[in-house]
Amino acid sequence: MESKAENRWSGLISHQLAVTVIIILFIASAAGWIMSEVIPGDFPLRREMYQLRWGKTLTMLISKLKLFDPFHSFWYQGVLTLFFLVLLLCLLTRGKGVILKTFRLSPPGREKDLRKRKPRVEFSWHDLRHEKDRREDLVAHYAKKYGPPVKIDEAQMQKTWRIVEKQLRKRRYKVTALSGAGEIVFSALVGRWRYLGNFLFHAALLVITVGGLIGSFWGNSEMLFGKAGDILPLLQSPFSILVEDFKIHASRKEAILDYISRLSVLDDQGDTVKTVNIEVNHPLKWAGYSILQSSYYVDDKEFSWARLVFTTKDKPVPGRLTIEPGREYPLPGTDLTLRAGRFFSDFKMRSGKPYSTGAGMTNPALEILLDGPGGGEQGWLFLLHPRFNSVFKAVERIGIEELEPVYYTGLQINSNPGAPVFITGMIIGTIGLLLLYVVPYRHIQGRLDREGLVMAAAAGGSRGFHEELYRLQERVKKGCADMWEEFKE
Amino acid sequence: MAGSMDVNLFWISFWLYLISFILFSVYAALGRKGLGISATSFFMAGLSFHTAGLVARWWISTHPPFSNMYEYSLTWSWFIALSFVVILIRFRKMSLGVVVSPILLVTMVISSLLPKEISQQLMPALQSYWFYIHVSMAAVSEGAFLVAAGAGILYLIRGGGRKEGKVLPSQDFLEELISRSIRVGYPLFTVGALFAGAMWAQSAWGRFWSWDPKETGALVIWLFYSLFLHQCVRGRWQGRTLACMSVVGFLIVIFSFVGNLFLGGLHAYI
Repeated sequence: MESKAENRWSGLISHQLAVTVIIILFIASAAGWIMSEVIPGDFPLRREMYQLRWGKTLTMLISKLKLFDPFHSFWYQGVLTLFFLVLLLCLLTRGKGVILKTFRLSPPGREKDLRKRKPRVEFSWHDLRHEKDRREDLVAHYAKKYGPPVKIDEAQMQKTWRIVEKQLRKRRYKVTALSGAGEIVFSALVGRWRYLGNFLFHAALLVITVGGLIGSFWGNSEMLFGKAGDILPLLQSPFSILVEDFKIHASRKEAILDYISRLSVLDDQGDTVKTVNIEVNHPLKWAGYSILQSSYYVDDKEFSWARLVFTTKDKPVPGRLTIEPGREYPLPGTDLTLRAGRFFSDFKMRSGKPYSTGAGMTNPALEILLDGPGGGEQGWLFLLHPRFNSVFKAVERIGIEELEPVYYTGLQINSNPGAPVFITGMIIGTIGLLLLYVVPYRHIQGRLDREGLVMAAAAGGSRGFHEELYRLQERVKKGCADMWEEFKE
Repeated sequence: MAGSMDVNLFWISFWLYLISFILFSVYAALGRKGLGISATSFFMAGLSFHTAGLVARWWISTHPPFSNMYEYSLTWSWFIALSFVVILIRFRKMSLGVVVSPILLVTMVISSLLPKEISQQLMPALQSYWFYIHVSMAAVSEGAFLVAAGAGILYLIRGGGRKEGKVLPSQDFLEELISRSIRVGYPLFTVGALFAGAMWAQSAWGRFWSWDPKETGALVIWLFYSLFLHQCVRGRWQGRTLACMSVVGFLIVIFSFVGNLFLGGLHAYI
């Protein structure tokens, strides 16, 4: 019964389980990746329409499994939880051992067959003794090679071990050895920090998850829009944000180069505490909140000011007049008054009624109202298409020279108490990866007995490692040469 | 006119790589060393023009050439070519060119189909030092994954025993190359694509992770190579399996890259 329980426990913390969970998470992520693209994002809003198109069963399946937003579905969250539980279990059960391995070299294990390992070097005293006789005839050579083994005595074995150990230490290996009946098993290691790196990287994944969880449970996020002069509340804090100004820098080809908000932080008394410019990638951090320049939009029915250019019958030289909404202006050189009416950033007309299709400045149009002794006139002026401007009786020609729309800055206000934990996790993970992949790692397991020496890479091993093992073997052989002379004598 | 200079250099490098591919193929078939040296020379010439093209684009655009898919694929293929040269210097295996040059050509053909307009000004979201760290590390790591896939393809088409052939490298060598490339690519991808990407996303969009298609793609790639390394450590993926999986991994990388054209999301810098 006890062994069954032990087996279950070792199965629960096995590498196999970790790999299985990675496979499950990989499949779930790949499926979610594809599903989120195949199923339209508006599925929950237009369920009836999709039901007609795809049928009741499929629509129900998509709804139940939340395939339109798979990464927030119960099944994906379940797989993620499983992944992190296994990771936690792995760290709890193996973490201590791995850290200890970094600071204390563990005794070598008694591996049954080092000869299956790769890369590997080995030689027997028989080979060494007959190495000089290779040129003799084949029959004699093979008779000696496969003849009775050549064995050295205990003292010679100890002497050989000292040579091996010296060569290993010379190459900065940390060596541990166990002596038994007629054999010495040893373990030599360079790059113990790799164990710590392995631990840190896995621990970092957990720390990152904890940071993410803190953020999702206790964090806040809100999108606020405001134009110059607006005061926006800073979530639950006593502070508020005054939008002093908002500017968009665009290139000649109308490509947005940058957008910048000038913001003031106001305290609960309304006094300015701080004034800064924020732009994309350069947020303002205040009282645990990040205020990010996220987006902007142009009000499709409001404008800030417009400069008009006009000529009259009496005055053919063009005159200019800057107007703002809601105010009446005398038209210079005439007895007319002018005021702005409606504004549409993307002017369209349907059934004789003007409207705006969106917030873009695709076709800005301004309604002009003229009053004078001869009565009132009304018409539309177009910034980008002046040939469509209305014709007024009272003025010869009138058009818009420049127009400033009302821009609303889009500010994202975030508070993420998990951010420091998340960032710490990434720093730990980076250190872990550096230790894991940059620190050179060599681990040799070997056995020296009265018949010969075998040294093999403990796990994996590159061509360079094989060359190093070969050089090591050659040095040991050279070191043993004197001893062989004594032995022969 | 100035803008077309980098495109002209790109095309010159493309034709030089094409010639080198033909010569590498003949070299692999006939095993004549002279052909291998000629192929390598054409490849090096191609790399020189490729480098000049990148420098020209950097000079003209005044920012590193990875602000859109064309520039990214150009930089990415440059890292692939450079990796091949490094491997060539280190291991003297000219025959790897048989696999690396066609893969390079495929990436360059993909590049040639993408819009090539030069923008001197980066869009606001890209104006950050994270842009240099995140994108360059992602390009290097994906270049390393491609080298692994190239070695994997060579392993699969090579077949036969484990011994070194007259022209083609041994299976042991190719296995080691696959393993090493992924060991170079994995930490770079983790730190560059995931960690640096998350840091940048936090300062630009206010959140570390948004489940954007590109982010999810990066997670899928990372999970796959995590699995790859675990299976290698356990000794489960060796030989043909290792080679096949290096190719599968790279197909995921390619899908994630090309996905920008149709997946949309926050990373849709076409």
